[in-house]
Amino acid sequence: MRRLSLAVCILLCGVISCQTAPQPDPDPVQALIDRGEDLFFNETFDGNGRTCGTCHRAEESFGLSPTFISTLPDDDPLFSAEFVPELSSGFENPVLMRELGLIIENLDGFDDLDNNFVMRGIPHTLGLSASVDSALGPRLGWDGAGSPDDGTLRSFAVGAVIQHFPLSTDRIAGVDFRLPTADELDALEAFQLSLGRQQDLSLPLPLRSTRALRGQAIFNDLTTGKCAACHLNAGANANPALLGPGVGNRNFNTGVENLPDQPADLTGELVPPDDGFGTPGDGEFNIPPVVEAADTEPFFHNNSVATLEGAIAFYNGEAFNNSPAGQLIAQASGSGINIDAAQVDAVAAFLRVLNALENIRGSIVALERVAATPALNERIARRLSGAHADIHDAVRVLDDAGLHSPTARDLEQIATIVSDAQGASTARRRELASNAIERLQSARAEMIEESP
Amino acid sequence: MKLLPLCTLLVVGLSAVSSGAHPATERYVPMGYWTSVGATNTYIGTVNAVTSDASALQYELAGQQRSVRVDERTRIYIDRSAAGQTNFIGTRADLKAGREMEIRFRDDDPGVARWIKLRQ
Repeated sequence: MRRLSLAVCILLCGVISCQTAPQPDPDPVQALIDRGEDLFFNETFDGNGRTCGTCHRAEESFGLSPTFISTLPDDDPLFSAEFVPELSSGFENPVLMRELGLIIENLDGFDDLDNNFVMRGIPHTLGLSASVDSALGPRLGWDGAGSPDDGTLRSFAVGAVIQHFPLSTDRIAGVDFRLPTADELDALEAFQLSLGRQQDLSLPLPLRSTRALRGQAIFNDLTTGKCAACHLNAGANANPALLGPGVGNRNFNTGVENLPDQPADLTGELVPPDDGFGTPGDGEFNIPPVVEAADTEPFFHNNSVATLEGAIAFYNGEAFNNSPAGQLIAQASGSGINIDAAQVDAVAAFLRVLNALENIRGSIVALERVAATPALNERIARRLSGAHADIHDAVRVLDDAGLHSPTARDLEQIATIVSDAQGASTARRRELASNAIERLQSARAEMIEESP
Repeated sequence: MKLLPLCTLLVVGLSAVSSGAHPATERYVPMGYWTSVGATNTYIGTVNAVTSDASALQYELAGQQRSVRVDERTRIYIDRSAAGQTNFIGTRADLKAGREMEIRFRDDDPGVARWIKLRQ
C-alpha cells in the first residue's frame, strides 16, 4: 500500500514538473549559507539550550550588550548557569554577565574552574571575511587564538560548543553536548563569512559631514591620531606600508588590562587578570575592525569602556601610552597619542558615520533578499528584524552625537516601513521592502557623495 | 620622515608574534574527531614502535614506516570516550607499541606531533 502511494506521488510529481517551468538550480553557496544560518540560530548540539545566536544576536549586530541582556527573560539559555544545577558553579558569573555582559572563558584549561578563567565581552561576528587572515595564520576571538586545532573559523564552533554549550561542567562529548559534524562546520563557516562587510573600505571617503571628514583625516594621519597604523581603512588589518605586505590582522599589547577603575573590578567579583594570546599569555589582543564599533559597545576584550568617545580617548591615556604598543608608537614618532577632546569627538563622528553607512548597506542587502523572496520563512523574518535593528542603530549612533539629524529622521521613518513589512502580506511585504531600499539609498546619499 | 622609523620599530617589536589556536578544549575532543571532520594534518592508526626515550614513534602509512617526533610541546591525551569520560592528560610513558592512536601533526613542522591521543 505504501509502495503504491509512493508510486502515485512520484507519478504526480512527474506530471506536475512537466507542466511547470523548470526551476533554476538553487545556488549551492547560498544553500550552504542558509544551512549555516539555521544551525547558528537553532542548533543546540544537545547541550544546555544555547545556540551560537544566544550570544551573537542578529538584532544586536551579532554581539550582545548589557542593555540587551537586561531585556531577556530569566529562562533565556544565556542564563543557563542560573537554572541548570550542573552549571551553577564555575560556568558563568551571573553578576558580571547581567551587569557588564561578560562571559567566562577558560583559556588556560578547565582544571580549576573557580579561579582559572578570564572574563570577556562577546565580540560581534561581522566582517569576518575581511578580518580573519593574517600573515601568521587565522586570527579569531579577542586574543586571536579563539579557535581550537588549526585556529580557523571552520574549527571555531568546536571550541565554542565545549566552552559554552555543555549540560554540565564535566564537558563529556556525547553526554553533555555533541560535537559538530563536518557538514555543520562547513555550513557554520560559510554563514559566518557571509555576515557584514565582505571587504574593507577604501579610505578616504567623500563624507558630507565636516566633523566626520575632519575625524577621518585625524584617523588616517600617522602623526596625529595614528589610528590607521593598526586599523587600515577602519578595518582590523594593520597597515602593510608599516608592517609589510600581507600583514593582515595583528595582535598588540595596548595596555587595556592596566586601565584603572575597570567596571568589572569595581563590582568586587573575582576577575583574574587576562594575559591575552597564548598560554601563558603574552598580553596581546587582536585588532578588531572599527567600522562596526559605534553600535557594538561596550569596548575592548573586557567591556571596560562604555562609550565610543571613551574608547578613542583610551589611546590618550597612560594605560595605552605606557603599553608595549604605545611605547613603539612613541619611540617611532617622537610622541604618544595625544589628541584633544574635540579631536576625539571628530574621530568618533567619523566612526559613527561609517557605522551608520554600514548599517544602511547591510539593511539594503537584507531587504533586497526580502523583496526577492515570495515566502516568509524564518530567514526572511530574521532579515526584516535585522534590518529594522540596523536602521535603529544608525539612528542611534548619529543622534548620540548630533550628526546628520535630518537623515536620522528619514531613517526613523524607514524603520517604520520595515516594521510594517514584518506583518504584511507577501505582495505588500515585498513592496514595502523595495520602498525601504529606495529610501535607504537616498539616506546614504545625504551622508556621502556618490561616485560619478 | 617619521614613517620609516615607525615602520622599523613596529616590525622589530612585533616579529616575535606567532600563530596559535586555543588548546584548552582539546582534552574534551574524543580521539578520531578531527580526522572525521576533515582535518588534514592527522593520522589514525597504531603505534608500531617507540624510541627508548619516547622522543619519537613509528607508524605505518601506505605500507611505509613513518616516524614522528615527540617534543616538550607535544600534548598526550588518553582517550576515554568509550567509557563516556573526557580524555586524561597523558605522558610520554603512555606511548607504547600496539596502542591505537591519533596524531595531529604540527602545521609548521609536520615531522613533529602537536598532540597524540591514545585509546585507553
